[in-house]
Amino acid sequence: MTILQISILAVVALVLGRLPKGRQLALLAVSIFVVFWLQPVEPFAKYISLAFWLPVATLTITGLAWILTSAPEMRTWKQNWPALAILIGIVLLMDLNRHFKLTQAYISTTPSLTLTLIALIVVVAAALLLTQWRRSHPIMRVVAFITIILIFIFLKTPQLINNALAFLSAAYGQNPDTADAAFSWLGFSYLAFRLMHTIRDRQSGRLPSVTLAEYVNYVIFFPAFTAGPIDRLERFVKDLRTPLPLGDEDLIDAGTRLFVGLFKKFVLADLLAVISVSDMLIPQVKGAGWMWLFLYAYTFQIYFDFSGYTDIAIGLGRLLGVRLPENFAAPYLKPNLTQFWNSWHMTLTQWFRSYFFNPLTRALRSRKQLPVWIIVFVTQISTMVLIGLWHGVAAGFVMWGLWHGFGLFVQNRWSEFIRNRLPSWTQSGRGQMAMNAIGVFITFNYVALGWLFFTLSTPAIAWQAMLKLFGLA
Amino acid sequence: MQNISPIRLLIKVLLFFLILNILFILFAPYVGNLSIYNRLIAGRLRFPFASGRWIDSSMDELDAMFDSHVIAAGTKPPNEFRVVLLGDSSVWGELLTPDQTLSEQLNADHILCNGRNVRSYNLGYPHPSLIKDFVILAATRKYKPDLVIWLVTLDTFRDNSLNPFVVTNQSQAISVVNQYHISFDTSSLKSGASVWEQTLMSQRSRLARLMMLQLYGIYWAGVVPSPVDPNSYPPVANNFHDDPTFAGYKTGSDLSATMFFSWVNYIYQIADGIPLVVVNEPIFISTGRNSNVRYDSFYPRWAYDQYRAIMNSDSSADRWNYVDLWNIISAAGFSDTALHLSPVGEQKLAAALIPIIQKNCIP
Repeated sequence: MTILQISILAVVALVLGRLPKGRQLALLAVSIFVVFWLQPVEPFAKYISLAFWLPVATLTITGLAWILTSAPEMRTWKQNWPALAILIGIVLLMDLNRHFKLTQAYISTTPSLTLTLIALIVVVAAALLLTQWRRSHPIMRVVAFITIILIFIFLKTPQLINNALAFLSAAYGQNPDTADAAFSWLGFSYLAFRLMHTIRDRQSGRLPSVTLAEYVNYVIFFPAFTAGPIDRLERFVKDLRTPLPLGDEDLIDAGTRLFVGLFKKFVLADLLAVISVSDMLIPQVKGAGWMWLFLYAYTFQIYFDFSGYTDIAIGLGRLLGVRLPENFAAPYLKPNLTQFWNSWHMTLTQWFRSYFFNPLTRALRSRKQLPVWIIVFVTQISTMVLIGLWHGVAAGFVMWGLWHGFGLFVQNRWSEFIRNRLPSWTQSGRGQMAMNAIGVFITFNYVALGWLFFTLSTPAIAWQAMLKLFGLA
Repeated sequence: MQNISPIRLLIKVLLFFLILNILFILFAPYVGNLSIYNRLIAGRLRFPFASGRWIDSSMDELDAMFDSHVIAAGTKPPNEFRVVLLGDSSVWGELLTPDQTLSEQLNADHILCNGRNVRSYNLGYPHPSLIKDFVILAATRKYKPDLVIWLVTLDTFRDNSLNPFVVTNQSQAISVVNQYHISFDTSSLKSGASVWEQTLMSQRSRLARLMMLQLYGIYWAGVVPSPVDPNSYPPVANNFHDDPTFAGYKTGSDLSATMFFSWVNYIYQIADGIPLVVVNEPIFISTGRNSNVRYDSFYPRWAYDQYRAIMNSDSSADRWNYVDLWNIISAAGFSDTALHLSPVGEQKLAAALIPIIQKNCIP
């Protein structure tokens, strides 16, 4: 998002947050518009308007997921027709921009109205059928869960995307070498996690009953749509139904959060990007000292970039009366890797803990013959590799996951080993401070080294950088 | 927590912002001089310019350009014979690492001038413009050059009044034009900025670029730039259409009528007694298709021949110290265009300039 887009959204949020009535539906309308507005214009725009169909797909998937996860008593026409009307109405409005040509707001190369109407009729028919086939819902939830994962894998695998683009190039008679290879389905990473959370919680009977408006608002809530945080439905709906009061202090808090976020993202992160470690830089760096400087620059750049966006999201949410969960809590000041992961991208970590780490740990523990260290090893490594793969299906992200999984395992085992062996001086105030400082130093540098696998294009280049850091290349 | 009124806070914020802007307006002229170059890190061997290939932030604000340059590092040593090179991208060194540029090739030869070490400085800046070169030379005088070598080509003498450098440094351009009575229409330029244009709000892009320039300095200090792979760019074109026109001029047009060859006299005025040599820089001489019509992609033969003839005759008439090196570099000495030299080409040009420097070595 640009500063202008954020500023516009802040003004909109301020107005919506003050609405005495109809706030939910107004928020829904704005969030749907934002899904279209922020979707990048994709390749093959002159042949197929992905900037229109991808947001439509986002809304379709969300609507169908609501049918699969909502209680039957929440699916009444009376409760949901305004939300449905807004959904369909805005899709049609966006499509009609081919006539309005308000290109500052949205593309004007949308498909024909007939095509859009046919698509909408198909979607509504599918939704109605799904609503009727209640018995199929348990199996459909499994199918939906797997489908989301498959779409996710497709979107995160460069090879698959390239193949798809090559296929489209051939279909439209373009030269694959000159075709624009950029492609992104805006917000799908976070959308997928929210949908999977609701499907899993519905399966386990923990999901609250929500209306279509509440569900769609949760999934595409515009402050958190593109970069999180990943809220939980039950918590979000509580704020949505009874928005937090927006008093003077809250307004100041929200403004401060927005300002801090903008400063972190657009000043600190963007400036640090100039001297951050990159593929091109590695072979040219003069020595280990400079290499460490460039690595630290990246370490802080990624923090300011991501936490800046979180601050912006939380500030915008606060203006709307929704307290989004925190995503960062001074992660680089944590004395061990476990605490680091409890304070870095916290909502993602909590998601994986709830839906992968804990169930896997329970499953492995039920096999009594497995020693604890093996359980710890398997759960830590697999969780972190999955978190790595969430960023993209590439060797570097796998290595990054392995790096952290291994680090967490070693830290876990070390903590167990040292628990009753620490000398008495470490228990004193100064001793604890010293131990803490050493822990922070080691953790920070371990995390910083891990970023090499994350940001550099291949593990081989990351290894080259590692050697340079230690004066070995 | 103390109860804070947002209205009062907003008023305070606006007041603070207003004060900040007033302070900024007062100190804005000096902001360009805030530099870590030559203080925390070494100065650059050439002006900052984003060529698209180097990690090199563009900064065409004169103060910032000079403050980031090695020529601004301390006072001139007494045993230094200071040579400054002026010109366009060929002098700046497009597709060359800083140590491959003409100035560094000259420095690598460690020549002496009456016992003083000859040290060359690259003050070239891409895109031809006479006013740009005038402004840079005027600003260079405070660094006490002993010799100025100005590399020119036919394109230098076209009307380039809208050069981005001139637009950025409008007040300096007007100052030079007025001081030397240069017949240049400055009505499209502004000598000063309005109050709004001086505020923090209006200057934020400039500030961001200044900050970027400082950070690029750190980057620059920490890397040894890899030479550009000659296979990464298309080589200089050797075959052309038979189009004989040059910048809208048809065959046989009188270039001297509308081009600015006589402005060489101004640069001598600006140099104000500092020895100055005007060098017609080498061009690529094609041997391919339609090479009987064009020397290269820039110049048809008739226009370039006419230009050389004018420069030769004017230099005699006006007593310019003029040297024509147009054909000293063979095809292998060029990189991507008919004016950009490869490292080998720069070496040859440096070798040709050494006797010229020694000839102009005045104690």
